[in-house]
Amino acid sequence: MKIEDVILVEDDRDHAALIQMALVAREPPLRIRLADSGEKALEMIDRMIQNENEQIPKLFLIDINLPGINGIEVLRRIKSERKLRGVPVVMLTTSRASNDISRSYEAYANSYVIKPTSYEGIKKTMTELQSYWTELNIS
Amino acid sequence: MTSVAGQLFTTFTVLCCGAVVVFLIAPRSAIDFDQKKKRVMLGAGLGLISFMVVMNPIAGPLGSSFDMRAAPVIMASFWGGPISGLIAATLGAIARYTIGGPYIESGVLGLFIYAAAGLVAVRWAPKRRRVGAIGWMVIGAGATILATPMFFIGRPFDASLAALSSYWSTLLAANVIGVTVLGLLMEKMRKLLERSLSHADDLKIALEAQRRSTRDMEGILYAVTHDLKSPIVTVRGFAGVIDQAAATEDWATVKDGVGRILRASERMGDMTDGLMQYGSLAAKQGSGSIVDLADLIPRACEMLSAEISNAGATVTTSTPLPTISGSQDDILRVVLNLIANAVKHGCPTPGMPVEISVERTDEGWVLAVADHGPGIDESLHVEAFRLFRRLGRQESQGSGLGLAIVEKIAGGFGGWCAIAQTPGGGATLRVLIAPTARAAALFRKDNAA
Repeated sequence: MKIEDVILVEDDRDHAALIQMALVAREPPLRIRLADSGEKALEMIDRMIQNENEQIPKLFLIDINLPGINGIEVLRRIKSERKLRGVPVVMLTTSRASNDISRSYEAYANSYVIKPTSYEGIKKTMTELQSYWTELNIS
Repeated sequence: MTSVAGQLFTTFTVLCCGAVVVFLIAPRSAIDFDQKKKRVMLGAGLGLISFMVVMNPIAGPLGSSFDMRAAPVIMASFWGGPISGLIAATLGAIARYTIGGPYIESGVLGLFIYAAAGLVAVRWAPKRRRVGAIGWMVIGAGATILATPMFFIGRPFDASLAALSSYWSTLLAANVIGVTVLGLLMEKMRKLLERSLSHADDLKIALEAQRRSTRDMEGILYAVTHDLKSPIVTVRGFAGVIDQAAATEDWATVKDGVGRILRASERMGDMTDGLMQYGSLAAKQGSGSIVDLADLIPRACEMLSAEISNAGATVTTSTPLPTISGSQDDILRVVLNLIANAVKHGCPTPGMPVEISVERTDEGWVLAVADHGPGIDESLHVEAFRLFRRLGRQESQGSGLGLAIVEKIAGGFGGWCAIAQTPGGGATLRVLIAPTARAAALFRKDNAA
């Protein structure tokens, strides 16, 4: 069975590890591909657009506050590409700032989720995101 | 006497109303006549007063010489220079010509003589100095003496002498009273306006400081709610992971989790310390003194000797180093942060150089700290000065506030900081540590805008 990709754009390695641990086992299996900066995320996106063999991910999970190119810019890039605009993008961040929320939705984010502080919370959030955006949601 | 009292009353009223109108229309113009436009406005305003005085049916030239047409013309050239004087005299002259009657030539010429008298008076009493009642009386009398030859224009010598003996004393009294009244009035109003405008400027500065402080608070609040929350997620998240791993006796995961929690809590400690340091900066600014960089920079290197030695960096300083004016504590903190930053991020392998130099530019003294490390990506050149924006990897130590502190200190005294590429590779951090008064004023103006 073909492995499906989730692209995680996150500069905090600890958060990335927590998210990875909180993923629920499913069939087909999900593989997290990490981009630890906005620049690396854009490189991945470029490869997906230019290379026909490159797999289109099932979901993008993007942190907003990244050094250099931030999460909103990555989101804009995804939504401006015909090949990728149908892939759901969830902004997963610690920011509760209304400005960040409105900017995300203005750039066509599919969802905005505030990172829970507990491991249980992270697991619950990841389970919900997984079941809604990668299983039930037909994109 | 009634006629003289009537003339005095009406011309006095016209002078006062005119002066008030000029000040109300252009309060700033009433203080600084440094632009041609303002000088033209002043000349036109005072010229209009002169026009009204001459056209006044009671005080007009056909009645007697007890009018005060000289005062506004003298004021125009005194405060605004030749352009203002010429405009005011021309307007007065037009009025005098329109009325017609005898002695038109001397009447018209007299107004231009008064304008010249105002220019002579400026030489004697500089504009900025307070002239005072006696000073204005002397100017009024002097202008009358200067205008005396006009009695001899356009009439026989005998008739001129007769006119002189009849009218000169009246003319002298009118000019002395007119110039003194209008001069004192303008001086008083300038003083009042200067005070109120300076008060308005003070309020503007206070408001700008308040705005800056609010912006700072918003930045701190955002940083606290976002950046400080980040290690909390790590600590609580891995506490949960450890809890589950311990239940299954997965000690490797427990060990990894403990390590991550320790690093995150250390980072949180650094961040709160840095935030306290950042927040306390505003209160310490403004204590200016003489700072000898030849003494301060080696002292900063000594304070960072452990970090420099750990990185194996070679710190060199260009000579001679200047003595500048500023706050010793603030400049030391800037130097410490820049050197620490260069050693931490610009010296990945031992033996790498960090070069410190200070150069004189048009804007003031600029401190530059150059390293030859991996450099800073151009997309981070502005963002690097934001709160909690760390240039290195997540694992690197530090609060992420070093450059934000540098920027806040530099902004406090009107300086700036910027990142440039070091020729041959690496990053150079440049800070305007001692701006000239002009550069600091420009910075504050830009900031306010």
